[in-house]
Amino acid sequence: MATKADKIHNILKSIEPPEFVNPKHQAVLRGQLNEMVANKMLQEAKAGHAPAQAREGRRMKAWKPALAAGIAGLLACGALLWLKFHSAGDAFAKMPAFSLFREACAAEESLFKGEGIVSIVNEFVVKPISDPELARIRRYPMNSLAVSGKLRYDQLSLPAKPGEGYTVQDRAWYDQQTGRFARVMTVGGKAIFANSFDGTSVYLIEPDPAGVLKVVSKPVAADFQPPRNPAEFMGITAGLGRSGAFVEKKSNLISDAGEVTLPDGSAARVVRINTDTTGMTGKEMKDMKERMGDSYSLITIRKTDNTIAQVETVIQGQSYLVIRRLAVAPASASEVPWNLAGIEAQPVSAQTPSAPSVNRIPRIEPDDKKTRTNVSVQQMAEKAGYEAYIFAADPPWTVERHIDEIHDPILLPALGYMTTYCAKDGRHVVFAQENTLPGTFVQGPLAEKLKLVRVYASPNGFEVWRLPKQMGPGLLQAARTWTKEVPLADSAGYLIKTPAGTFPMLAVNGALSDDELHALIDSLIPAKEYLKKFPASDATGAEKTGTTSP
Amino acid sequence: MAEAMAILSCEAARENRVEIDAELVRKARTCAKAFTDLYEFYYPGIFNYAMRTTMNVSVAEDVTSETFLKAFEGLTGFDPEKGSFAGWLYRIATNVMRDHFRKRSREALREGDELTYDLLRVKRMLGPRTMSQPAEQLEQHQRLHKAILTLKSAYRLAIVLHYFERKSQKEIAAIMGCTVLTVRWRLHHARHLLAGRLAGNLGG
Repeated sequence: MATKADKIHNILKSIEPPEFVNPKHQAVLRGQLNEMVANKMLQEAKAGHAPAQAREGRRMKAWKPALAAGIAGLLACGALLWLKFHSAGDAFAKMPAFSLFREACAAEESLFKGEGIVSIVNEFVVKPISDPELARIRRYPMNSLAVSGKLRYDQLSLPAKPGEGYTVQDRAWYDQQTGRFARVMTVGGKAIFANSFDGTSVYLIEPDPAGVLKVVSKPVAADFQPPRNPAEFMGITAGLGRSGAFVEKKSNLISDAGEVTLPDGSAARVVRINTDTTGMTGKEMKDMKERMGDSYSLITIRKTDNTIAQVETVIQGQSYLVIRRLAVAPASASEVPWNLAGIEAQPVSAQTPSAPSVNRIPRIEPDDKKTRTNVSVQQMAEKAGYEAYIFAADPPWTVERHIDEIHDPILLPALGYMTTYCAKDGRHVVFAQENTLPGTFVQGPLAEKLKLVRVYASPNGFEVWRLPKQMGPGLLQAARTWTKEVPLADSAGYLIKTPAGTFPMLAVNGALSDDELHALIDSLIPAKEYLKKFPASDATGAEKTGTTSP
Repeated sequence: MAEAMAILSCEAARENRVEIDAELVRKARTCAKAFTDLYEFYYPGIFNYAMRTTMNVSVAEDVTSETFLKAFEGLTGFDPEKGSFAGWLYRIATNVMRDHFRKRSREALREGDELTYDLLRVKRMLGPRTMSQPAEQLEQHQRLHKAILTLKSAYRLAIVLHYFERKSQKEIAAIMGCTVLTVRWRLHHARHLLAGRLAGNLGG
């Protein structure tokens, strides 16, 4: 019986508890509570003046009860009015940070709901930082309207040389009545990105085969609908994802960061949004945070109208990128470049690795699910946008392989791929890759703090470092859909530098000998090469078994 | 993977949450409206706890409503020094569910009534994350959950709190108002009961 009980324990541990949503009941109960809140406020208001009211009542009771009741009523009304004014004056200062942020997102959306045409001017201030790797990979998620009429994710790439910075001007116009819009981002007066809809066609500047930015346009289909929420692709919250969903999911990461006075003398509150690390636990992770310094965003919200004045990204305690709201004003139709005519794009010579640009993430639409399971090697090779790798031979102790495509525009600006090799003995292998952050673990000041130990340099050009203890289980945790097991606390985790300059991570649910590690690393090959080597071996995958999950 | 690559500690977020709650509770005492912020944040957790324990939509809705109404009424009795707001809320929900189970056991039940597993309605409530789980996993979970529903309330609550709500034994003890040893015993005994009831259905 003991073994069966253990089995029950293991099953219970491995199961993801079901998650239920019930917005209808939530709304009903909210209504009930609001009513109770209103009643209680009334009682509180009355109670606050009860002694005076009682005294008045006692004195008058003998001769004019009606007047006494009237005065008591007036006192209660006065208290309510006081309460109303008092709370209106203090509402901004007292509002919890996540409610304030929610208000700010709503205020941002409301900018696009007024009559006439609104013009919004923001600037992206790329701050000088000394870390070359952090300076190189700086980017910001954004959306644009593709000529197909669908929204798609882009990355605003903002690289700079160490110690250097620059400013990107971001102008947007929106006509609420017709859905027409234009957005032009410039550096030194030359466009690095432009996108518009003039009511009949969608315009976009895109690089031609020679890399020269040119305006392309396409008439929209008869059933074309302009995007419903312009704040998703214009304005200061456009990079934060769908604001409502964002704040609901991340409310536990939002906190108050104090009050400030803006350069124009107006008052504002600052809300801090910490990096989401759902699923990470343990003291070691806390230690790691201390070693790596703080990384978060600061949202500055105006007291006058709850609009966002500034969004600042801080990495390792350094200001990394500041997006500032410069102006919001009505505009006339004649001043808007609805068809991008006259927009001068950046010349090819300026499009150097350290110059800003907008990079497309191919075939990704906001409607796409965040995780696409069981994609094929071919899909990974074609869609990654960087050199994706795979083991030429599956680890010998494993029995099945699954490749998941992961897309989270906030945490993971590029497409990520997680290959899970399941083992019968529980020694599962997870190989995860994308093309952004982990490089900073081994290059630059962050690396000096982390002091990762290099454990292998392979003859085919890979370098391998052992990751801090909690990273292996963290990665395996992400693969539980396939492994169906809680990761072992002592799972091995490694960071790999590939010859292509990407930094995948490897985790094994258990110990890995040096020989096994070397064999695995030596067998890594580009996915494209794998396809040439094993053309018939990729029959499985999304085409055959693909499923999606949000 | 995104989680694994992220930087900051979840512990910090949790500490942050406790601070936010303490501040909101403090505000809610003088300005009742602050309570609605607590409600918005904790509704999903409490409703899920009630669903996972009862697997009955109507009961879970009643339990959730009663929990929040009681919390609202009794907010002045909450002492942040003695524990987190989340723990306090779970304790109320647990007591509400115990009352529910007690009442039901006094009523003359039709055979198997306690096992009401309104599958269609329950399925409609499933969030997108759960819907995306492999069918095989969902089935196994449903089998196990049906067996959990046959346990007496003390065992059932311990199992749900520990395995589904991911509470530590210490937290469960605080929520259920008993000692850690009692929690350990209940979990141990509940696993044996489940093993007995699921004999032959465990697979492998």
